Amino acid sequence: MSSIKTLNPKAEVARASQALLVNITAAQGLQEVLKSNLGPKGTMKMLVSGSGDIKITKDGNVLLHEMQIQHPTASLIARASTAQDDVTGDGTTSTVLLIGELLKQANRYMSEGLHARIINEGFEIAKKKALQVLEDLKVSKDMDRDTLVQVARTSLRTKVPLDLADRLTEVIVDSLLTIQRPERPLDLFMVEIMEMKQKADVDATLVKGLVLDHGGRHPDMPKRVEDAYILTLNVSLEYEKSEINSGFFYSSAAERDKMVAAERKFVDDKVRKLIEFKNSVVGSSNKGFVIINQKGIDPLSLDMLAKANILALRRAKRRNMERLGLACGGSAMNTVDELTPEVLGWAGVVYEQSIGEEKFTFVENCKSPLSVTLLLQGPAAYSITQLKDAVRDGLRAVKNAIEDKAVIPGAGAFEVALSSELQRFALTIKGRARLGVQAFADAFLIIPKVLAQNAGFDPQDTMVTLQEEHQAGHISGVDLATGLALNPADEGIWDNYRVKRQLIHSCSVIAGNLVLVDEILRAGRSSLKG
Amino acid sequence: MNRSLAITLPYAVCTCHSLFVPSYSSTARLTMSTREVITLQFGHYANFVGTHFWNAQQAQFTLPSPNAVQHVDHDVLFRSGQTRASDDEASASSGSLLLSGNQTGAVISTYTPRLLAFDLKGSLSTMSKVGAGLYSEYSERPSTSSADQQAAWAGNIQRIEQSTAQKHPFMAELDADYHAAIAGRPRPQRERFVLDYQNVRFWSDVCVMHLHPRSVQLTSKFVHHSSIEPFDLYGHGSSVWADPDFQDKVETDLHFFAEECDSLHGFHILADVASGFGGLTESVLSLVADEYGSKSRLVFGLSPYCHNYSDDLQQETYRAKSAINNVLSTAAISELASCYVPVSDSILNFSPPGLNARANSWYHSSAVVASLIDTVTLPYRLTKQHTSIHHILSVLALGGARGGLAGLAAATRYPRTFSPENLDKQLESAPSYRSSDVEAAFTSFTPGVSVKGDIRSQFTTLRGILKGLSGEQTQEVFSHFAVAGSLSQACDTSSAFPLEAPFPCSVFGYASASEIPTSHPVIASLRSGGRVSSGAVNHAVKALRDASYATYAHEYDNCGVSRDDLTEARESLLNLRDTDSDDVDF
Repeated sequence: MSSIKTLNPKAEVARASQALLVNITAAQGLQEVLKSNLGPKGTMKMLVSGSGDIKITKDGNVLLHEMQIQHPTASLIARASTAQDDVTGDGTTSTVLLIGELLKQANRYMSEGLHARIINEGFEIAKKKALQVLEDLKVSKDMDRDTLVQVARTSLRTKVPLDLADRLTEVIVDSLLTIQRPERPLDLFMVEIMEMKQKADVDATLVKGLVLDHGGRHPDMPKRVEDAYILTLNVSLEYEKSEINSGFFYSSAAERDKMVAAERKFVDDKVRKLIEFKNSVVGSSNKGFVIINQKGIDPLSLDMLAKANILALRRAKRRNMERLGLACGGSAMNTVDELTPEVLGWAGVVYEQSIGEEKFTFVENCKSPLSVTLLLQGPAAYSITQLKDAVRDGLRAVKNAIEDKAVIPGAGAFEVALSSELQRFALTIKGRARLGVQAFADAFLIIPKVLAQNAGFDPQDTMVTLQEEHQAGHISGVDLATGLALNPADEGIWDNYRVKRQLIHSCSVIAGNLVLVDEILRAGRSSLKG
Repeated sequence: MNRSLAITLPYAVCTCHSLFVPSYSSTARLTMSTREVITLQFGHYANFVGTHFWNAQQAQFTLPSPNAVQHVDHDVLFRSGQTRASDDEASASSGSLLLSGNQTGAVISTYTPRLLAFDLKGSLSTMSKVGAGLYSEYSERPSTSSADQQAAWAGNIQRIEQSTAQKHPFMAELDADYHAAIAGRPRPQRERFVLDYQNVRFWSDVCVMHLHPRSVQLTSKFVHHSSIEPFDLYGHGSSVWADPDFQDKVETDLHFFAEECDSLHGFHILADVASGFGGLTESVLSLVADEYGSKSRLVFGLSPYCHNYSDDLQQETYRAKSAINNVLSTAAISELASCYVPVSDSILNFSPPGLNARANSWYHSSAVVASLIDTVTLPYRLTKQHTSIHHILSVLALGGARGGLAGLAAATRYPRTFSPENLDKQLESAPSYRSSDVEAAFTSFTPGVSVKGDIRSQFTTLRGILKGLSGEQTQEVFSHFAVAGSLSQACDTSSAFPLEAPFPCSVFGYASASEIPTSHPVIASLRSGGRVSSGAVNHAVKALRDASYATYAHEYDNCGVSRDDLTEARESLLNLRDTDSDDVDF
């Protein structure tokens, strides 16, 4: 009887083997859910909520966020696995699978009486060795466009349909290559993702410039401006009437009108200065002039600007202001006094497009932009969301590869090699910790096994073939078309180095901790067996 | 008398009738034409209040007004938009009132609130997160083209469906009426639908208003009514905001509503401050203050008497945590707001006269709060003789850069109408702030602030209570509701609070369905002054003292709120109280 029972009769306690069982059941339950996702041949999941909201995904990270996990251990594993995604951008499903498998393998030995400490010790040893193997297997190479396309493709084909993945791959790599500058770290925020809902096929395009989700608010403003100067402003062109309305500052209607007029003139003067500036830089040339303002512009000011043939956008988002400077050049001004041509940016074309009640303004064809936009289109919210998740992952994969300057052979080849190396290494370990290493080695085979299984092949068959190939000294991954072995390098299947490294780290730590748990307490009304 | 605010008079009374003589120049008129307000609702209780509020607006669209004039300018709160008819609507009979054409793609005009409603995953029950399907292009039902897309996936597709929740009978009836209207059938005549407070569990159960698909902001980090991780700590709110995707969506959707406003006037903010939503409110409000700094931000900080975050959470725990959250929220939000009004429904436990609402039902108590908020915000939403939020705030002497606290009070015992014939007699028996039994006639909805005693200033709205009075008689009624020695202003309007299902009419004491009128008169005021701030602050600080923070310290620590943060919040509240009482009272 645990002492907590005397303090709280409602408390529930699970001890020793029972506690382990609770954790293993949770880990395997989660594994079972995500197992079918793995690989390009995994199952797509369509989640329909009680009110009919839809989500289509096979991304483990997305699924874990969508699931309402009620089991405490499962929720712990889920959080650890999504942390993997936060750090590296991929590998969630693999983490869940590996944690489940590590616990399962550990349980084999523990049910025969092996102590959890020793298993854990074995895990630690195996982890160190695994990291060494990872270093040995990594392929350092020049990150040219072809390699990056291969990396992105490997990641995306596991998430969206094949032809879509191949289309996305190109735009993702091109977007990053556009904004990449030698000796500068790559900033993914400089690739803006813009969504556009329309009745068309799912598609993604790269816009070398910016897409804003609002347009001019005046019917007479030009809808298309070519060879355009871009002036970015942070100046209110709005008649702020607040004080005047308060009633304390005037005592007659005439006085009030005078104040209103004075306030109005103040705004008008600012607009006039802008128009004068436009006339001075554009002159009689055919160049266009576009104002993008972070603050508001009221209807009267819009009217004046429209008459001067200026396209003016109000209330631009702050981060777009920063990105405008990077895409078009020029700098944002906080005042309309002393404007000089140097503060202006330039874009080849600026045009507006409306879909339903939403408007979009494209600021395109910028010269060597440091910031670009990926425009995602699709017929429904869920298809765009799916696209967006995939694009994010693809961007991360490419960035990882550029920063790692190395890649790892995919298609399960790394796991097969790692497992074989660890088997061999286990024989050199003295004492019972060897069994922990053994468990670790066996657990990693879950990845190629599930890959084969999801493609409709017998996992054992495939495994034997792969291991034979490995013995013969070849790097071999699962060929999803035949169920036999292939060389990932020939097929251009590359995984991220840092994803695998993080994977080895996180799953061994979490599984190790869960193995060590020998008592679970819960002082509440809900049951442990949820 | 016109427009001169003689603030030295014992009862400085100014009517909104006389405040604005329409004598603007044409320029001014053009820019003054629209005064848009954006509404933000944080939390399930705030959404309950909001739902009643929006339902009341909806009811006002159709309510026959006494002089056949539209009194309320709905454009302040609503936006007009357009969408395309979905296939099934378009293929329905051409007799539909809603469509301007009967082929697919016909443009439908929409009229939806400028609203962002924040809530947790799982809190919508049967409502879709993109609203009730007004906008077909946002509809999530898979269309043919997406079926093609699914087919493009070579592997298997697994469909995981949550069991469809049962629609509340009231909503089911509304749906039936809607489909009948589309098919061109007449709306069946029915009895007034009376809802049982026990089976209204979600605000979506009573949400009559069609929301814009961009309105609902759900966080998937926390689950509504969760026993594993209830959303009951201030720091939880900030952790929700830390998600860049969530931030991005909120920013984009807020921008959508704000950008199209020609003359954005301010923000109405309803916030649950007893739960984690306090932290979220602070985060979102600092974004709003940053981007729209010059606009008024009127915040109602709501702390419901009972909670429904989780079955496991004990009432005692809720009390303690809500006290802690309340102090943190009030300190942070009052700094970001132009005016912060703490509101609690706990007074309903003492069954104030004229009110018969259950404090333990969110559906009931939020209805009362909504009627008051609708009333005090009415002056700047009128078609004629409107005032501005800023004006009301300057009456309360809160217009400065620093935010301040205000209280919310309502008259609960008063005649249904004042008539010109026996006005004197009616006034004699009507409640007054000057009478000794003021507590029997007025109810304060701001905890810790009594209706007794003097205050600095007050803005009172009387709706639907003055019928055919002369200007002088109106003045007389106004001065009756003024507080001695304070700056008092009043505004009256003939549009009373509409009572239409699903509003629980029993909260106003109507026992049987047959005696329920179409609308109910309400008198409510916003009040400020040293006594109001000190009352509210003292109440919050005292509740904090009783809360035994140490018990929950580790939980707060885990979500990034340290003991120092709490001490600092407490200090800043005490500061706020002290500066406000130092102000020269009029």
